[in-house]
This record gives sequence, C-alpha cells and structure tokens, in this order.
Amino acid sequence: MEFMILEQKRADCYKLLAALFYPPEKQTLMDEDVCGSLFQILDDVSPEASAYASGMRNAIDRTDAKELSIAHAKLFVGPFELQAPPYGSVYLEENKMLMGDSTIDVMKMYQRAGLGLSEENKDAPDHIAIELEFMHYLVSKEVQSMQDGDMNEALEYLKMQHVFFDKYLSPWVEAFCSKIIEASEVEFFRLLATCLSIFINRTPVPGTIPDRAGAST
Amino acid sequence: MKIKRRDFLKVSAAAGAVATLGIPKLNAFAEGEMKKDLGTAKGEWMPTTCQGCTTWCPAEVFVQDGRAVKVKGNRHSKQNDGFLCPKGPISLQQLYDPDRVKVPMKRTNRKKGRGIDPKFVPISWDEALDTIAEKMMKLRKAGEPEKFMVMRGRYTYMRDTIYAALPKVFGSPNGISHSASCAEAEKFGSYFTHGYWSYRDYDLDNTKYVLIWGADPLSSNRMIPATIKRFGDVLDRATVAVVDPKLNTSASKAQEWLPVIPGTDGALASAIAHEILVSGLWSREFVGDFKKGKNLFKKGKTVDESAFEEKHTNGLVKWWNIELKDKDASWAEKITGIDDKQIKRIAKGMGKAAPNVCVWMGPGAAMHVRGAYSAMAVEALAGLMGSIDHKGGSMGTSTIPVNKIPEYGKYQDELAKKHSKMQKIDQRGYLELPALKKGKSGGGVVTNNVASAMLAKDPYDIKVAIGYMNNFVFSNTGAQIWEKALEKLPFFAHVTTHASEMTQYADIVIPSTITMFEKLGYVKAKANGYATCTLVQPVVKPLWDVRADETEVVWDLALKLKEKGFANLDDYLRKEYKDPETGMEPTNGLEFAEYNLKIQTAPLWDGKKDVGGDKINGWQAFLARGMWNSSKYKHKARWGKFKTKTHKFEFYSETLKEALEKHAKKHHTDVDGVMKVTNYTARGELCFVPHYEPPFRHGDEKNYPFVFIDYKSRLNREGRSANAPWYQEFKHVDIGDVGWDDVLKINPSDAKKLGIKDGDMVKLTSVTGTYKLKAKLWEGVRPGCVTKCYGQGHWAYGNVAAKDYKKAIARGVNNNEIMPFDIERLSGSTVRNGGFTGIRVEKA
Repeated sequence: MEFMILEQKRADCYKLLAALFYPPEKQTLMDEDVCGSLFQILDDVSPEASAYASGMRNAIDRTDAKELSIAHAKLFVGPFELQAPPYGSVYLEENKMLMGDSTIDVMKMYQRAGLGLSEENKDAPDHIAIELEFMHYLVSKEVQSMQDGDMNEALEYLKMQHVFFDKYLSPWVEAFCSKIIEASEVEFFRLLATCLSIFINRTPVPGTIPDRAGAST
Repeated sequence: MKIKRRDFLKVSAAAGAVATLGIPKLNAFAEGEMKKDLGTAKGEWMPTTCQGCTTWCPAEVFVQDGRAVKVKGNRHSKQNDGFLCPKGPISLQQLYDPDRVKVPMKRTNRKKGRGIDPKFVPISWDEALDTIAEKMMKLRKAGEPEKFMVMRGRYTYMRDTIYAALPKVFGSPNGISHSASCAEAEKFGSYFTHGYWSYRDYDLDNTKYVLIWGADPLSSNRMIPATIKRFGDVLDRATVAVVDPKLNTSASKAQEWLPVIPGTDGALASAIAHEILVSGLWSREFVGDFKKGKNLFKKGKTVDESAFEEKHTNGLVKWWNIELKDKDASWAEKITGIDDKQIKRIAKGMGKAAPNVCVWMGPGAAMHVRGAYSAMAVEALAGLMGSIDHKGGSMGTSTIPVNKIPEYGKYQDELAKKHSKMQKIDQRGYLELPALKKGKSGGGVVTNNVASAMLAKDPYDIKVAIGYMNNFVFSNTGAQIWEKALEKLPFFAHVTTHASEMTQYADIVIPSTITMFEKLGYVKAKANGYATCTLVQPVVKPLWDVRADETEVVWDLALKLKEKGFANLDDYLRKEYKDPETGMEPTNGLEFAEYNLKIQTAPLWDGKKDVGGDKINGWQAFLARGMWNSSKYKHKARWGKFKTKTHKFEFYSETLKEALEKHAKKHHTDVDGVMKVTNYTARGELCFVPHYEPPFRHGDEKNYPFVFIDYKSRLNREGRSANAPWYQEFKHVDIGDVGWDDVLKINPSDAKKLGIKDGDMVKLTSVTGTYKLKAKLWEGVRPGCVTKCYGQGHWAYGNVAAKDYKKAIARGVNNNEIMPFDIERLSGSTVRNGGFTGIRVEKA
C-alpha cells in the first residue's frame, strides 16, 4: 500500500489507541465503533495487532459499562495503588515518581513540535493517552507536510517521531502493558494492552520517506 | 481526563485513498500553548511551610518549569534558621506520587470492610458534592443534624470553617479533632502545674542541662531542625540525659541514657525530685527557701508547711509530704530499673546547672493509661529547677496576633442553635471521660473514643461523616475498632490526597490538594524562642482535578446545600469573608481561600497596629516573604502570672483540684469516685500532686511477658510518607531499623532465651491478636521490652506502602493494631506508651 496512506493509518492508530486509554464511555465507544475502526486500520498497519482489536470489539460489547469503569479506575486512576500506572516517568525514573526529568524532556518535545497541553488537561504530561496523541500529531503532520509537498518538514516530523518513540514511548510501553495484562480482570483491557504492545513492537517509525511518496496526491 | 469531541474517535484515512488532512484532531493538546522558555527559564525559590511534623517549619520550594524540585527552610525564619530536617525532601515524593487521589470517586460496592473491593469509579465534582449535600440535608429534614460529623486530622489554621463553622451552622456539635491522638496528656502535665495547655519551647542556646524525657527531638516531636543545628554545641556546653526505654537518636549522642522500665516514669521523676530536695538543689529564686535557711527535707520526714516560704510556686512541702518524702533513688531503682547512682547523678547534675535546665517532656512520659500524673511529675522538675521561662530552660511562646474567623452564630437557625449544643459524639465530659482540657470537664476531645461511641450509638448514632487529612483507621490504637465503626457508618466522604485505610470505607472520595505545595493557608508555630506565622502556598499548579479541603471544598459544599434549600452556610461565607482590602465578596472557592487568609492574618501585614516582630509592608510582601517572626520570647514572662488558680507554679495543683471537684460534682460523686472510674489508683490528697502511678497493662505478665514500645520515625511526615520510596529506602536512619522492612527489635539476651536469631520470623501476640514479623536483635532496647517503629503496616494504601492492596496484605504490621484501645481519661489522650501492651514473642 502506498506509503502515505499507510502513514495516515498509522496516525489514526495512535489516535484511537490514545482514546481507548481515557475513562471508558461504553456507549460512545460502541456508537463510534472505535474498536472496529482500529481493527480495520491495524489490518494494514500492524496485522498481528488487529486480531486483538477485533477481540476488543466483542469484549466491550460483552462487558457491563460499570465494570469497564471500575476496571479502568483500578488500572489507571486509583484511588489505591495503580495496577498499571499510565505515566512514562514511573517506568523511566529511578524513584518511580511523576514529574521526573524524563517528564520535562517529554514536555520539551511537545514544545519543539509547537504543542502545549490544553488548559483542561490536568493529568501528567507523560500519560500514555497524551503520548499516543502526540505520536498521532507527529505522524499526521508528517503526512500533511507530504501532502503540501514540503518533504523537509515531513522528514523533520519523522525525525521527531524517532526521538520520541525510541527515547520516551517505546521504552516503557511493554512493561506498562504487562502490568495491565497481569492485573486486570477485564478482558477488554488485557486485549487493549496486548494490542498496544504488539503495535508498538511491530510498527516501528519508518526509517525514511520513500522517494516520490509525496507525489501521488 | 475526558474526550472532548467525538471527532477524536473517528479515523481520517479512507480505505485505499489518502484523505486531505486539516489540522490534526487534538484532545489533550492545544497548538501553541506551551511555555516558550521551558528548560531554559531560571527556577525560583518560593516560600511555603513544611507540615511533615508539628514543628511546621517555614520552608521554600525550588520551582523550575512549574515543577517542585527541591526544598529548604525559609531564609527569613528564626525558628529553623533556614533548614529543614530529612522529612522535608520526602514531601516531593508525596506530591508526585502516582497513587494520589486524582478525581472525585464513588463507591459502587455497598459492602465495606478490609480486603473488600470498594469498586470505586470516577465521578464529577458536581455529583460528588451533590451526593454529600443530599445526605446531609436528609438529616436536617429529619430534625437530626447532630448526626453529621467532621473529623479532622492534620490541618492548617484555615481549619475553622470546615471544622467549626460547617457543622455548627449546619446544626451539629461534631467537629472532631485528631488532637488527642498526639499530645493531650503531655499538655495536661504543663497545664496543671503551670497553666500552659500547649507544647513548650526550649532555650537550647543557653542551656547547661537537657533532660529529654520520652521524646527524641533530633528525630521527631518538635523543633527538629533547630535541635539538629544546636545539638553539637549543646553536647559541648551542657549535659544531655535521655529517658527512654529504647535507645533513640538523641540518646545515642547523649552523656546519659536512662532506659526506664516503661510506665514507671512517675517513679523516676519523683525520685529525682526527692534527691534534688534532700540535696538542697532546688531554685531559691523561683521556689523559695526554708525560713530558717536549714534544709528540712530528709528522707521519710514530714515537714511542717509553715517552715517553708515559697516565691513563685505553690505547695512544695505538701508535695513532699504527700508523695516525695519516702521516694528516694534506691526506692525508684527497684521500680524503674534505673541504677540509684545514676538517678542521684542526674538530680545533682540538674541541680548544679539550675536554672539553665531544659526539662523536655515528650509523649513517652505522658501517654500512659495513668500518664497524667507522670506528665505532671516530669514537668514539676522544671519547677524545682526554676527553669520554666528562665534563660536556658523551657519557655512559653510569644503571641501571634492573628484574627479568628468571622462570627457565624447569626447564620445558625433554630435547629442549628439547639442541636449544635448537644453532647459531642466522643462522650467527652462523661464521668469516666473527664477530658479536662484547660480545667474544664469535657473541655477536650477524646478522639479515640469516637469509634467506640459510634458503635455504641451513645449519645446517638452518626449517619453522615466527612473526614479530611486523616486516617483514623490506621492512626488510632485499637485500630480494629475503627474498622468496625466505619463499616457500620451509613455514609462517609473522605477528603484526602492519598487513599488510605480510612478511604477503604468511603462512599465518596474527594481529591485534596496537598499541603506545602498546592494549598493556601497558614499555621502558627514556635521554636527556638520565636513564634512564627508561616504561610502554606500553592507553589505549583496541581496535577489532576484536586481542590483545597479546608476552603474550596467547604465553599463548593455550601453552594450545593444552598441549591437544596439551606443557604445559611453559603450566606455566611459570602457575606463574612469579604476581601479586607477591597471589600469584595468572594465569588469562588479560591477567592474565599484568599480573603479568608487575608482576614485572619491582616494584623501581621496591614500596618494598622505595631504588633512587634517582623515589619511586613502589605499583603503582597507577606506572600513573597511567606512568614512572620515574633520578637524573641521574653524570659520570665509568666513569672507571677501563671494561668493556674494560684497564679503560681503548682506542685500542689489547686487548679487540678478545682477541675476534678467540679467534674465530680457534675456527676454527683467525689474525686475518689472519679479516680476509680478513670483507672487511677490515687485517692485523697494524692490526686492533686504529681505522683507515681503503677503502670496499667493489657495482658498479664505470665502470658505476655514482654512490653511493647512504640515510637516515631524521623521520616514519618505524620504517617503520610510510607508510600514514598525514599521513606522505605532510608528507613535505616531510624536506628536499629532496616530499609524496605518493618522489624521487631528484641534485646539479644531475650532472643537467646527464646532461640531467636537475627532475621527469624517471629509471632508477636498481644491482647488484640497475633502478628508475624521479622526479628532484629538489637541492644538498644532494654531486656523485657520489644520495640517497633510506627509507620509501616498499611494494608490499604499505594503501591509502595501496602504490600498487596488487592489482597489487603500489609508491608509489616501497624503498631496501632498491636496496641489495644485505651485512653488516658483525665486528658482524653490516646494511650501509646507506658508499657500498656503486654506481648508474647515466639519463634514462628
């Protein structure tokens, strides 16, 4: 499949995966068929992960909305020990605390990309959903630059993806997902964790942009 | 966290074709909102207050990129000279703990108990407050507002709206403080000798002798940084003697260590007093002298009261005749386990150093089942030395001229007026619970009795409760009783920064800002001869959806009560908390907090009146500086005007006599009758003098041959730091302890008899149950005793503090489960010391 289409799908994968780490609103997720969309685009981008997205679609249907909320809270919100802390610094910092140096580095990456966290956002900047959204942004901007024919800018966004992915995202996702798989009693989250883990493992940021990739639009 | 728009959930890529992308859909981000100088801007030291213990050190936090990165003492502070103790830095790990409560939550499992999953789910602030207000209004509609209760743990002095105005305007008497968990028996000792219901301050710069009794000021219990800074000089200049049945940090450096048998402190104090008197070493300047100049204090001899002329004291000879005359060092040796020569040496050393003697009384001397009199006995030594308020001795405090919160009485309706005067739930003032704070029957709180009273529904049942900055299920002895009481409480809202054992029983969890970093308020503190008013300030923007417990939450709740037809509290907050500078009414919780703080602290910065101490020019200057220092405390300030009945230092306490007689009369009995039901052995005149009471013990010596000693960690931050990795990693700074563990320390000679080796698992049994712990062989605990530092044993907390929350497996054992429920009834104090817990130790 053409590079740019794949990249657009890769961007969407990040966005939908980000959305699935928010407190679950079952009806909305079903109405929008978020898992179904994810299944479809993963099929092209990361086929090994797509089966799990399909499983998620069934699992969410089978799981009571309250159970989903309870499980999500236990994993990522609390109020007691988090089963799977969704913050990069917990995995990247020696003391497993928030707002470590890695968090500031992540914030600097956001700044470099021209982004800031919105006023409404009150969570730590290295929350998994925020980091996945950031990857969505970077890949989308890469595609947009290609569409605009600005290959230098597209390469710049690709470079930022490499740094962010290699240094701040992929180093902790596997440990994070393992915690979810180990702790959660709800199948949906175990599948989501497996799906994310495979996606991150098997979908590297492309080494470069192929020649003529931007020419077909 | 919320998904704001549905298009965030839609894919942009169409099958097999490239869609034209506009601006990528963003949810958590906004383009161009990032600070531009991230990583390059200089950081800034911002003033606030450390509330890791009750020293309440003025502090500063270094903030860089909106992140708190390090802490130190406030450069302007004369109480801690710009230093913090090791508790300070641990606060950063409280602030940035991933296990903090982040959003309001509600319980979805109605069943409550240890190990039972509450099944919490996030809810909006609106739903959380609405639920609480609804439950409260039901009580008013039923005409029973007294069944509402606010329990406060640690606080700032913004406390009075949540603790007093909220329940009283609503119609409940039940603002319940934690205070009796910490100190009341200690305050009893100083009040009924010299009229001072508070902690004392100490003039370490000029002292020649420091007698530290049941405390470890290098680690915990007050003016820690000031003590750490001065201790080296003190050891060069003065003698330091420490009374504590286990070696503490101060004792490890002191010239004298007196490992007293727990609970016999009163005997040791009486013997020291006896030896001081027979040696003629009392302060003539303060106490006076025999009219003929000859010392008539001889062992076993009664003295004629008229032979002695007292100056600033009352009843010395009575005390001698009633309590002291036979109680010499050799008598005390048999009871206390302290060599008579050492007792005499201490008495003589103190006498020679008098009046520059600090008698530093701590909870170990007082928080016994029968500890009121040992607290008096220890404090009486300072009277004999004439060192109360003397250079080099113990001191009172300068006044901190702040305002009280505005009067709320006129906002109480008839129901509130009537019901807020009802008996409080803690049963204070009952015959068996005199709780004689400041001499008044039922004048003080009996915190640890609340759970029992709730279970007994006496004086009534509590139906709706709010707790803030507390964890009574963990922090009260006999903690198991609190578990039962909260299981049965129909509705409980916990306002807290971290979920804890108490949150396990919550119906609604309210996420609170954390003190020191995210809150606006102030505290009144003292140390090193200075009184300080120090601000708690929001030095960083909080993570998550948290609000300040004592101000914003009250404001928001008042609004909800108004929506439901009860506007009185909202009216009070709006009308009475106008900005003293502009006259504007507050329009939200943050403004309410600010105006409230301005109203209370105005005398310190508004320049209307010279209040002494630091001169601060206006509100902004106060915020920037973060604190106010008083003038240095004037020695002998209270001589001649002690707040006792006689205005003197009372060795024979007319003040206590009056208080006990009034309490007895209220219940149609006599003082001996009161003594009987409060578990004291004294009868007659002995009830009015400092004296030795034999220790009361739960668990007989045959079945429970050891006694348990509880003490505080130098890293504890009032029990709020167990989830901080640094707390666990550095646990070995509590001498005898090991990192990441909770060990029972036993003397090697005892361990040998029981066949226990270092590191063996042992079974520890008290009357409350059997617990398993790792043994640590340690010479620092006297034989016959076992000891363990308080702080570990959380079964419901964060990932570090609790070993396995889901299975309710604790890291170690909570001392408050090992120790049974009991109360020092004259003061209302929780009992933690004095050998009241018998223990059996067996190899597991």
